[in-house]
Amino acid sequence: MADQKSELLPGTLEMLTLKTLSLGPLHGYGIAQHIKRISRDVLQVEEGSLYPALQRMQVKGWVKSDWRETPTKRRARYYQLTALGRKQLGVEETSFSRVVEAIGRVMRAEEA
Amino acid sequence: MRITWEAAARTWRRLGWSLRPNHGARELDEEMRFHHEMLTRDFEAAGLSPSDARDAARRQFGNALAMRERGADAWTFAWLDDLAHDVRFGLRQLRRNPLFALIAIVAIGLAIGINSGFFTLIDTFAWQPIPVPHAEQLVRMAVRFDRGANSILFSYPQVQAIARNSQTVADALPLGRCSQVAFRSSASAAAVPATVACVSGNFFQSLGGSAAIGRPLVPSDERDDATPAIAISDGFWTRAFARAPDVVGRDVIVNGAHATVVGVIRANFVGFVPITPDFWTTLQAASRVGATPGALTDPTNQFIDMKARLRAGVTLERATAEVSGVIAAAPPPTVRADAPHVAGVELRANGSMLAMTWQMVLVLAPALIVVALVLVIACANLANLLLSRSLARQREIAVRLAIGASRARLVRQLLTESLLIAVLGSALGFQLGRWTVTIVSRMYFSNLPSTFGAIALDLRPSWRVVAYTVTLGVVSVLAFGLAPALQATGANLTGSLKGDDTMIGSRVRRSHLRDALISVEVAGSLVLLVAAAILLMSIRAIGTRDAGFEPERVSVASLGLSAIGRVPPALVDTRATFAFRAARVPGVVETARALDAPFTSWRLITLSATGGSYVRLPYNAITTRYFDVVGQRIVSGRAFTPEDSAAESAVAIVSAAAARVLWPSSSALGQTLRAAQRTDEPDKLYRVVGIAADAHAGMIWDSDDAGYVFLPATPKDFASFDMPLLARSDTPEPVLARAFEDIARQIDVNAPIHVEPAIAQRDFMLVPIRYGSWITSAVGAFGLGLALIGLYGVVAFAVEQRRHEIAVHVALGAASADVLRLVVRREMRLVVIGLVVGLALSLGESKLIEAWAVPLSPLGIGGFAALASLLLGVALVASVIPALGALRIAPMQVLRRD
Repeated sequence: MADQKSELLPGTLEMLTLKTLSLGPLHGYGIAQHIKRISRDVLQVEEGSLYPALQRMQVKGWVKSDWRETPTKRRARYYQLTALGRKQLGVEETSFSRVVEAIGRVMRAEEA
Repeated sequence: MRITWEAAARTWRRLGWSLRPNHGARELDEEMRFHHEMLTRDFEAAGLSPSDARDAARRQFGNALAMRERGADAWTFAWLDDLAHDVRFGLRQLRRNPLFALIAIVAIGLAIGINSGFFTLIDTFAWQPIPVPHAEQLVRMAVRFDRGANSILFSYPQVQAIARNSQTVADALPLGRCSQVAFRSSASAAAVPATVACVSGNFFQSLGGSAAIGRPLVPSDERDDATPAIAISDGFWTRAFARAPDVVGRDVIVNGAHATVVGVIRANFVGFVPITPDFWTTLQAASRVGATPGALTDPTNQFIDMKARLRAGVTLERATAEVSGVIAAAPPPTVRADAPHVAGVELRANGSMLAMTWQMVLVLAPALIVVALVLVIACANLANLLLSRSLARQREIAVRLAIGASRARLVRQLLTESLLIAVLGSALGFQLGRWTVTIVSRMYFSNLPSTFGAIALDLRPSWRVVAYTVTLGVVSVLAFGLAPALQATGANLTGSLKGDDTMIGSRVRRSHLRDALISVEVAGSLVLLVAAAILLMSIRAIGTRDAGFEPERVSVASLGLSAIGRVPPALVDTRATFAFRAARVPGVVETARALDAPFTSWRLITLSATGGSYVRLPYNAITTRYFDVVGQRIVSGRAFTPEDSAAESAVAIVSAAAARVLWPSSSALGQTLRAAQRTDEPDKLYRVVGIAADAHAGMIWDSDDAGYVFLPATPKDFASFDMPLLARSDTPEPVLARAFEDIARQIDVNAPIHVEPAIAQRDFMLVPIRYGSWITSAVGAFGLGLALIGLYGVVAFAVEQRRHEIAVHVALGAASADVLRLVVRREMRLVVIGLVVGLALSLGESKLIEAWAVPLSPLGIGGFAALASLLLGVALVASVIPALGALRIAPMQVLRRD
């Protein structure tokens, strides 16, 4: 199943990224790997979407970045959550849950 | 509020990012290289060879460049990028058609320049505050009486009362109307006449006048025990001292008394009016050297213009009430019990040089409309040109629309091109406007006689002028850019792609906009030309009209300094001697003396016929031979005799028009005139002994039916006024002038003498009209030129657009004349419509111009017809020339193409 790339639900990339970063600062590669691993390869982030999303989130002030050394002594840009981003994560989580629950209700309906 | 805060924060972050070199592209590259390395390492760990791993990683990674750009996109301002792109594109378009760009920019630049320059003039005089600190605190005062008119002249005791006792006035700024003085820059130098402004000691400090060298006048200069101190102007420093650096402290002689130069005032100092005297001195010093018309302490001596600076925060109403109370307690100007009493003061703001009253607006409105018309014509032209060009690019635009460009985006792009033209044109126009105004005003003011004093105008462009110019630019863009852009992009796509616009049978979409523009241009040009013609004809008329007398061989000689109200007895004698000797100069036919020379502004006298109401008429006090000198006939009765003057007998001569006004139903001879006196004395009675022919003897803009009254000159007149000498002679004026100068020098070597022909005053009065006519003619010709170029372009384009149609006509056997008529007919119809509209507007315009005080000869029906025909003819030529190109169309070639 490793090469069956599922698409992320539209609009969830930012939420997933924020959640990932809430566990600690990471570079772009790390974020993509984390999501892939935790979702058991179901959700595979396209690099082409990830980096523009990271830039957008920087503009909106949800994350900030700085250059650090990786454990393997390489230079990489690490992103971390800001207070604004943390607040945004909560907002998106709430909104997402509500939508999922609503979808569930529709799917479980027995009669019109 | 939250939304805008977020937007602001976002913008702030974006700005920070855009400051990084190359938008942080290198950093993004490095970041993605890192990711790529990590992916490669993963693939290697999964078993691929290093090179395979790298390729796999790259495939997974995707297009790095696109990613980088999309990433960078989040940071940039989208509209800014678009704008930059549009500007580059527009510049490229302009560079490809340099001729068009040049014509467009120059045309708009000139049109905006004219408007901007005119507005600068209005702004400088009407709106710009006088360039002194806190000009809004300045007021001018007038004395209010309990009956009768206000007086703008104060006496010195009144000034002192205000200066000392008023709580609301911060600085009292009197300006005395003083005579010219005889000035000697050293004991050995000759005397020259100099103009002096008599002010108070706080004048310079309050108005921000600093000295270039030395010091300005200060309050301590008002003390009576000090040597009179004078502060000279920069121009006078050049003229009388040759800019000697040691002028400060110099001992000079003013009217025979010693004075000291304390400083030279900086050259660009403008007080209340832009007229700079030769030097300033205090009222006290002026009185001591005899430059004031009387004793300072005399309360009946009213000669001072009173302005003041109010304390900060004081309203006009409060100051009026308070100063009125103060002045009521001052010594009154007259002790007569039945004279009007001082009731208070009237205050008016004096922040700018000209008050913007309704009359001022009426006077300026026609000129403003005229210059605005030029801009309209230029914009209409440009719009036509752009329309033609964009129609030529129809296919390109259609393609771009077809592949998905939004119409708004395309319109924005086309507008940007127009914006570029307008921006460049505005910048050019702004600069042109400034240059033109400076040059024209310098030329104009250099024509004024030196007795006015030098003009110090500060024609700084204020923010208002800049804003006006920018607005004009924006309006121009919208006017000439928007409509063509909208029309071009509203194209019929498939039709344009297929080249439908040139096919026969399809409706050739007639651009109504373009038609209207042509008519507008023609109408505008006609209005401009009519204005120019009216002005030109007026000048001719004024110059050649029968004045009712013969001023051609009359010269006016003024001896000695112009005194106001009081002539020193010595000067009275000098002048009498001069008149006596001048009459005997060979070649002099007749001499006389008069209160006012011809073509100057005559004083007014309030008269009534017995039993009638009072009228105010211009009058002159003359010696016996006046009418012979000026060549004015006496139609009935007699002229004055020497006995009339000597005996101060109460006789008068009236002009025929005055006679009609005063005694409409009977002869004026023998009737009695009642002349109201200034104080409350009873009317003086005069018996009419002669009627003179009507003459235009005063200012050129006095109406034709002005009457005049002549009274015999009395010794009191000679003792109070200059009474210049009028001489009719056979010799040429320069010879006569030299003879008079010799005589004057023999009598009194120090007294200045000025001789000029009588018509010099009349010609001087014509100067503003002359300038107006030149400018209007130039502007009108410019507008016409623009219109013609536009017409040419439009017809040429029509020929191009309709070549199929023409080819068919020619193939079917149409004659050349028919082809021409076909091409030109539509355009000429528009021209005729424009002429009709223009004629209607011109009639209204000439009514407006007549509202000016100048007696302009209206343009007769013949004149209008001539101008309209001229325009029609020129338009015809401009249309036919490109239409001739239609004749050269080879029909088979055209029909076979496409």
